[in-house]
Amino acid sequence: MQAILEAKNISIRFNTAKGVVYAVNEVDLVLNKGEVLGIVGESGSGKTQLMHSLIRLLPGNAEVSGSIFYEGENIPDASQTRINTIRRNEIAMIFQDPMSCLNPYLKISQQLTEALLFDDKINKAEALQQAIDMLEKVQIPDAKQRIHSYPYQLSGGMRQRVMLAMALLRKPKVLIADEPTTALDVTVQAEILQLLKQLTAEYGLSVLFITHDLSIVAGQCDRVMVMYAGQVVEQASVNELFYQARHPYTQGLLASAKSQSGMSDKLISIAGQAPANNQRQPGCPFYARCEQRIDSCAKDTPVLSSNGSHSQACHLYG
Amino acid sequence: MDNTIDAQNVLMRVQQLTVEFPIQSTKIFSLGKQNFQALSNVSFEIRQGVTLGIVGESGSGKTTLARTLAGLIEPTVGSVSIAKNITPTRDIQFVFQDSLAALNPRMTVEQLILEPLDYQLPKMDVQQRQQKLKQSMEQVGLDYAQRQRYAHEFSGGQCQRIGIARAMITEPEILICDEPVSALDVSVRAQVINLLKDLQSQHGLTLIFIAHDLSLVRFISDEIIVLYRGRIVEQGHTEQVFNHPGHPYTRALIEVEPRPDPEFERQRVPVPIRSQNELEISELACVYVGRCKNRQSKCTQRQPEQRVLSDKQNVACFYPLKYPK
Repeated sequence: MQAILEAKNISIRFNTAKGVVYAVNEVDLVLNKGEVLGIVGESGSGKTQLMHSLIRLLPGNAEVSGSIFYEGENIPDASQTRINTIRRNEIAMIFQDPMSCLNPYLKISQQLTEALLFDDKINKAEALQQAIDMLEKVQIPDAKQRIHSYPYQLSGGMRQRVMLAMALLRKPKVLIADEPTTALDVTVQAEILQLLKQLTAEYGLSVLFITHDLSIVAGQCDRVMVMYAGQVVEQASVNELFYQARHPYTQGLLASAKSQSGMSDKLISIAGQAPANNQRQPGCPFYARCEQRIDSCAKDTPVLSSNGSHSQACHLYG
Repeated sequence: MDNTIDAQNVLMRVQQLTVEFPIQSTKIFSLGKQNFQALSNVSFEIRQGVTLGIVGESGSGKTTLARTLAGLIEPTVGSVSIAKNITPTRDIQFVFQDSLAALNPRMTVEQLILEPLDYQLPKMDVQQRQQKLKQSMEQVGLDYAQRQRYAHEFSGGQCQRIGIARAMITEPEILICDEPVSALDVSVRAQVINLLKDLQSQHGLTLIFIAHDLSLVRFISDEIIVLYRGRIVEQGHTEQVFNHPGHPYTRALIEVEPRPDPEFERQRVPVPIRSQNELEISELACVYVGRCKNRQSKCTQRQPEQRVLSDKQNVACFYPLKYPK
């Protein structure tokens, strides 16, 4: 398989008034052409920061090290103009909260056609027609009328559809979806997930799907990366991860997700909480919460080791 | 709210509750005021020691219902009655979804947890208060040594524990939890749910647990109410409702929830996407008619009344789902 987006040894630190925050530590990421890669992690695990680093969306106080290549092109060294072009045409992103991404003062029509009119040699009427067609693609009823609405006139699910339409208008190759359904009701979530799946196949997109919900990963992704405290703790195909999870954190997450969807009689949690990210200590970041810990876990930080396509950062596996 | 219930075990009775809010008309020249009905004709009882789950999507009226039960909103029509021995300000307490936002950032954990006592038991002496604080912090799994810290120094799960300790300090009879774990991480959710369950069994607490996803409600509730656009579409014993949902909406809620099982998800039949606007819906029609797969002409003409489906289940549907025996 051919990689479309590749990041190596990414570390992200934030210099804040209260000291350094270690958000992401030495993470490798490979997104292959046409695949959907799920990035799973709880709040503070660094998943969003990692995604933002890929298209240089991080704020000024972030220090990023490591290399990022999009189709062989070096992202950290690219000019600002080139980055803007990549964001506009190549790598699109949809976010958790569509309301805060859409401009409340502008009609949907203006926001959708903005990128189309930027460097295409088409006129306004053609751009509007393309936008309407795309709204129909994302199954917005009465797209012709709805395109003249303001964001506040649409429901949460409709706004997320508009975001998706906006992301796909320039026919990007990569889509980064950051918790796109977390703010939605379950029935609406089901519709959006189905739509995403259908359009991913239709447009041959490569997708980075960020979520905290393993249940969504099960239905959407080909491969999964599990993050904990800024590190990748396990990476595998969806089936391997769900049916042969290795890392105790993944196992715990799976057990609690399964119990919460009624697949066991008891509600299962992982005791304790994630470590603070304002210092880096030796040893496994999951040590304090791990039920299977051994002596070496306290001293040496485990590194990702693989056995074919399934890799984990855990001393229990050598 | 009136203290009139004398019946055994019944702590709260809601009768034909309707709550309306005035809305601004979008038309410039409109006649009279317009009202939005957040709750329509809601009736149920809460018995002592029982956990009642209230499920509904955003806009279904679940938070309005919770606030009306707590006496924060006046009913437009209908009534909320409580048992004679209940003092609302002390015996009915609230746990909110966003615990950090609900806690005053300028107060220490000690001040936060003890504040309700200033109003309810102002004569309590310092030693007793400290003892009470220690007890209640330990009960919810907080470290007493951290009592001088501020809410922002704690994680989301711990803030929710502070919120629960604060609600429990007056030893209430009824605890209303409005989406208490929605903002928490998956691995922490179960910790808070289990804590609520423990508190209930230790104190004989009556819990009202509001959530938008059914699966968590299933764990904690004995009885369940499903709200859709301000109406109860189904209510009954939790297991009965889960295993044999009578209303198409309840079934949809159960079915669409993703499961952490790739094989199961691969075999999932896509949901037909049905727009709400595809038919002209009369105001009298069933609230769910726009999205209902089983609708028939009767459903577009009037709203079905609640009817008994079994001794453990009521449903507001003309054509409730049937199951082979």
